[in-house]
Amino acid sequence: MNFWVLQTLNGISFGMLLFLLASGLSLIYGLMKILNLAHGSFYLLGGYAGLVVVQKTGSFVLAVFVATLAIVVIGVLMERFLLRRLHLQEMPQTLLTFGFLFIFSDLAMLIWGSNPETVPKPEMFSQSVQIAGFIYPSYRLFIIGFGLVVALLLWWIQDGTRIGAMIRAGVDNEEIARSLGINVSLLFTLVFALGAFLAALGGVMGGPIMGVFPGADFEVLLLGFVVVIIGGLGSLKGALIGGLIVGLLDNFGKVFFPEFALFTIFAPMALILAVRPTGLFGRE
Amino acid sequence: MRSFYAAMLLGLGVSVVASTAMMPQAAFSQDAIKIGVMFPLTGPLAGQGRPERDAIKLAFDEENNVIAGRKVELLFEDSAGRPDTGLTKIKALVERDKVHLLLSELVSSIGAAVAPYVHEQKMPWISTVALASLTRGQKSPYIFRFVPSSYQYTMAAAEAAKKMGWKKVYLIGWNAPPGHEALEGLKKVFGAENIVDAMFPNVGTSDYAPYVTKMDPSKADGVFAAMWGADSSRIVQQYVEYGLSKKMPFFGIASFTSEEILGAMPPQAEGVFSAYTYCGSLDTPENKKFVQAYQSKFNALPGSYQYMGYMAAKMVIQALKDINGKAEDKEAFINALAKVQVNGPMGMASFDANRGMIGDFYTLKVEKGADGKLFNRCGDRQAQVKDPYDAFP
Repeated sequence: MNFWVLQTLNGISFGMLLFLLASGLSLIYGLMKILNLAHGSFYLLGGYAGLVVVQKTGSFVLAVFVATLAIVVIGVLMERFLLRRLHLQEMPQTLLTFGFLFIFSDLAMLIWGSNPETVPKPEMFSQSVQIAGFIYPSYRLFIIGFGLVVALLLWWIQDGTRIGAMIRAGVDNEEIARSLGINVSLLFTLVFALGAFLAALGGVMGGPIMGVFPGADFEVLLLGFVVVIIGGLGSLKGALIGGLIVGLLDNFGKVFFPEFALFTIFAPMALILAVRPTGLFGRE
Repeated sequence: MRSFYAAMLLGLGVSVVASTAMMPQAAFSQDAIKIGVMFPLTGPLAGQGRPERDAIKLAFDEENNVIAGRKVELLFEDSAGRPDTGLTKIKALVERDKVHLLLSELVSSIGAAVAPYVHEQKMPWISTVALASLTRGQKSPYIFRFVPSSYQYTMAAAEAAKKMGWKKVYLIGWNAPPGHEALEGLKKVFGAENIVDAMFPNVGTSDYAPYVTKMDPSKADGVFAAMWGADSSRIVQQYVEYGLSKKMPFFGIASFTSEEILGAMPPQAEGVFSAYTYCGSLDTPENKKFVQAYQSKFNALPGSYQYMGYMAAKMVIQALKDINGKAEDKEAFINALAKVQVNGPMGMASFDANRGMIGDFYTLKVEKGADGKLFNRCGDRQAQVKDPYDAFP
């Protein structure tokens, strides 16, 4: 019994981290049709920036703010000055972000060296808690709660606010949205910034569990894509459900078939692609 | 006609003079000794490759880059940690740059890819690749392994733990040759029936929680881990978080707690054991000198990778001195290197009959120093351990 609760919690907490990563990827693609490969870099740089702030000030909350702000600035600059010039040219845009992935990866190694680092946990959640006879790290429980709050917030922005309505309009039909007086150009920047924010948030929040190190950007990007492919590109609900599915599959896969750890993620992905090429919640 | 003979004679004379003028240069060549130094300088293993390269530089700088009156030139290449890139760069060093010997690499897969090529080229290669096959199945008179093999360090770790009273053990190791070979080594020491469970996650697994939470402290005396770099700090982190470190000791195999990784380990990593040929805090004049020299030059504490690079270079330097710097004579060089013994920071080191490293092992325990930072305390010594190639058919 304990075993199942423990493993399920593990899977959900990892799934929530994956959701943070995948939601930004998904949002940006949904509106702008940009496959942002530099998303992994946003995660990595966010993690490193968070690490620096925690080491300097000791405050995890401040680290979240500073790191996400810094990455949002980078994201906005990228969108305004570079990606914008290649609007709707999918291939050149993807290649551009691919280039950035490499540049940021080398820059990070130049600045922070190549030793693995772990972001220290916030003081409040540095202990493990005892629930019904087993020990569980409280930080992971916090991640689950935090992920849910972010999901609810994003939902509310998408479905309950004017901005959200404009984004949905932009996703459905960019030209008609423009003709109705919606500033789609501003919306693009906003969504790209939001995506960068979520990736950086994933970097700081995931830093204490997954660590930040050279190559983390590529690892995270791969997992993010699996989530988005399962959940459906452009769908928030898809990112959440996809994240949880991948988190749980990964966890139970490792427990029951340790030799096929990656297989238990990629086989369901292939299956879903075969049955529903747009993912579980993607639209035609 | 006379003018024809005169011209012939002149030509002959010129060419004879020219060739005799060239001859001493060929015989007592004052060209530099060229050494190819390739390590992963980018990619996820750069954290080990760069410092090891630095330590090699340090060893040659201590000789002022002159051996037996001959200048030494180190040619650096980046393998990026990938076998295809690594083999291409080694070929470039050998065929384009015409190096005299190779002092290169630490990645197993690259080692396996490079071995047949250097054997065929008769190119002396001193590697720090822990692949046992380099001195067994793939062994060659030209291949030297100056790092313990995976069996050698696993069995040294297992013997150390057995001495502490361990009987039943878990293993968590990379799903790669060093991980699987660790299981073979543990089976030899503890017996197959005493391995409670062996798990092989992939290299670079993001989340070790599912593996860690499968371990039951009531079933075993301890856990062995055969994984390195970012993964070793991550698994210790998660092992501590799930409260297991208080119930069951944790033993990292080989360079698991190497100095550059200790910085990323959580404070609760205190108490983690390992056993290896380098212990940073060993109190000998040779080691103090090495630590000080490295630290003043590169502003970091040297770990086991730096030690391997430094000592492998020392072995090469000694062998080159023994043959009076005539690096062109490859047979003389490999024969000299096979016999070299160097007293370094960790005591005597030499090569066994298969050209694998022999050296002292220390049991290390992570402790918190006076400055609050983690360090390796040196425990029991196992003298002059060699690759247990006789133990495996």
